[in-house]
Amino acid sequence: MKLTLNQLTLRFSDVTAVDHLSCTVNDGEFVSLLGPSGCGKSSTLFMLAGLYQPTEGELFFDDTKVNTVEPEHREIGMVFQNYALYPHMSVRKNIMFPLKMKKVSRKEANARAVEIAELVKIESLLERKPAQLSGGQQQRVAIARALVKHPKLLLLDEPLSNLDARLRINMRAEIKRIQRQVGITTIFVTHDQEEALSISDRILLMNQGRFQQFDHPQDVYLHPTNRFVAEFLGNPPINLLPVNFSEGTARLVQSDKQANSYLGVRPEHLAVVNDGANALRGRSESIESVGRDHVLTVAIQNQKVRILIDADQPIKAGDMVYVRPKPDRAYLFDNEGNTITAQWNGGLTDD
Amino acid sequence: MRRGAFSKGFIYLLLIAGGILMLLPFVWMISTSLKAPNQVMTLPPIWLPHPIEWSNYLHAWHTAPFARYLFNSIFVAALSTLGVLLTTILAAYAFSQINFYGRDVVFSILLGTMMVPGEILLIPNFVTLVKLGWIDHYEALTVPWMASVFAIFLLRQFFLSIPKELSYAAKMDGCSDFKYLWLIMVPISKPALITIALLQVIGSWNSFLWPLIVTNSMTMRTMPVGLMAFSSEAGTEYNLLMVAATMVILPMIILFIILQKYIIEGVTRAGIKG
Ligand SMILES: Nc1ncnc2c1ncn2[C@@H]1O[C@H](COP(=O)(O)OP(=O)(O)OP(=O)(O)O)[C@@H](O)[C@H]1O
Ligand SMILES: [Mg+2]
Repeated sequence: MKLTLNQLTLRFSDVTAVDHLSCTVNDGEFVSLLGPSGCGKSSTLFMLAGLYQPTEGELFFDDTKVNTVEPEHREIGMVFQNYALYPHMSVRKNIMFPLKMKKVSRKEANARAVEIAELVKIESLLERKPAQLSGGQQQRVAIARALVKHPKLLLLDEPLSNLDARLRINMRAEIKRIQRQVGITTIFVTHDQEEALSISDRILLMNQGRFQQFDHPQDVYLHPTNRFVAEFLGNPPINLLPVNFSEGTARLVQSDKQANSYLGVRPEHLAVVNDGANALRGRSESIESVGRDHVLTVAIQNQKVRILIDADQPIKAGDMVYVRPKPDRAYLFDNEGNTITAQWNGGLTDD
Repeated sequence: MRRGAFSKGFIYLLLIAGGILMLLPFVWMISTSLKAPNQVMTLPPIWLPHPIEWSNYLHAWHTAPFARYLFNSIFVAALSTLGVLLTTILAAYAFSQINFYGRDVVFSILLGTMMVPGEILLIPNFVTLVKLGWIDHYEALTVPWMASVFAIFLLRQFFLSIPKELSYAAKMDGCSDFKYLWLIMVPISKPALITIALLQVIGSWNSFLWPLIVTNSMTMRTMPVGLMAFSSEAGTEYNLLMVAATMVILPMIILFIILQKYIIEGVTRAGIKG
């Protein structure tokens, strides 16, 4: 099912949770809704579900406007952060519940519950109560219950946030597998960038209720449309240097006051080089190992810059080094945080 | 460690002594109820009657209409408990799930009524029942007890602890609010509801003053009222009196033994009342 949001807005008494959000999600697509806490992800999802009424704007499923359609008539399956399983019912009863409400015959409901339980691999747990299941298993039950009605849209609100790190990665793959197998359009809410980058066809980035960027994971990472997106993605985070940009050359400045723009370069797009052409000179301060990566911190004037380096690079703390960004992987942002599209030829100086 | 065991032993000793002290009157009651009249007042007291006079029970049963009293007690307890459960569930739902104007004010006022001692309400309630023509009818014994602010408070707190997502999930599953209440919330709240039902049954069974005031005829008496009437009729036949007392208490003891777990849970939960 195709999904169209047109200037969708949700206001509570004193906050605007979602602010004129527009986008189109294609049939069968897996879209992550990503953003910091409180940016309106859940609110957006709840509007899609019909649990919240939009204050303004329109919402279309395929070509039907659904603003006022009741949740149960929207053909949606939803999984909540705390799973929201019915604690007094067995797994089987939980999965059958939506069908029971639709007055599907017991026999058929049971057959469909078993079928879906096999899909999410919980067929051996059908007689248990939710309290007797692990977090990951409860998760699967919640997905089964959401899918058993054969909905046209699957909504997941931070479904992995209650799981431990390893299980999270497993379930992530499982969710992706199930989604592929069923071919259902899916909106997946998360505030974990890694999760979003690994699982989605496209990522919708939000901040303070507003649309930021909607693109393929590689594109939001490599071609951020603004400073917020650039800063939000990436670990260790992107380096931002205050510069004065004119005539194709960026000149490093001492303070934010003197800067007319910012140069953003991710740690992996900076290289330590031998010559000073289009490079910045600084003193190597420390080298940290984070798992496989080695992160070199360099002090350039009063700025600190982090660089991802190879383990065999012979750099010691205290060395003077030159640092050069890859020109096509460096971004210029103006003081408002918007990307400057003006041509930058890579010219860079620090004096 | 030895010291721990010692102090533990001491505590148990105290508890056992306390337990025996609490049990003695009951044992005495049952023992007396099985004695022949000439063994009732002897010194030193006889703890184990011999022979055991089971016939006392038959005798007492026929001296006063205990069957009727028993029926009344059970009927009144059952009806008022069902009533309380129904009103409590609906009220707790309204006070916890529906956002209506003035909800919290109304709820505070309701809670405030808990501070009014029951005795103050005795006369106005009695007058109301007279006007309704309910005196000496089952309505008088049951209807005034079919709503309990305390129970509403208890269940409301329980309902509030149910995560909101559950109602959202139910809504997505096509479950109406009414079905959500009966299919999801009520089953989840079973422990709280059992507590409420038990407190109500016990309260109704033991209540004495109210049934005494609103009933006149013998056929409307409940067990405690019947027991009082019997005590003036039986006079000094203590063994028969103890038979009647045993009959009043026994059903509660059986109930307690069966539902011990829930009662203890309930009294702990209830906290302020018991
Ligand atoms: N029922 C409500 N009443 C008033 N304000 C609300 C309500 N629900 C959410 N908000 C506000 O709307 C904004 C967006 O909330 P929302 O729950 O959509 O954020 P989120 O992106 O899901 O955050 P998180 O990652 O913490 O779940 C927040 O400022 C929040 O305080
Ligand atoms: Mg949220």
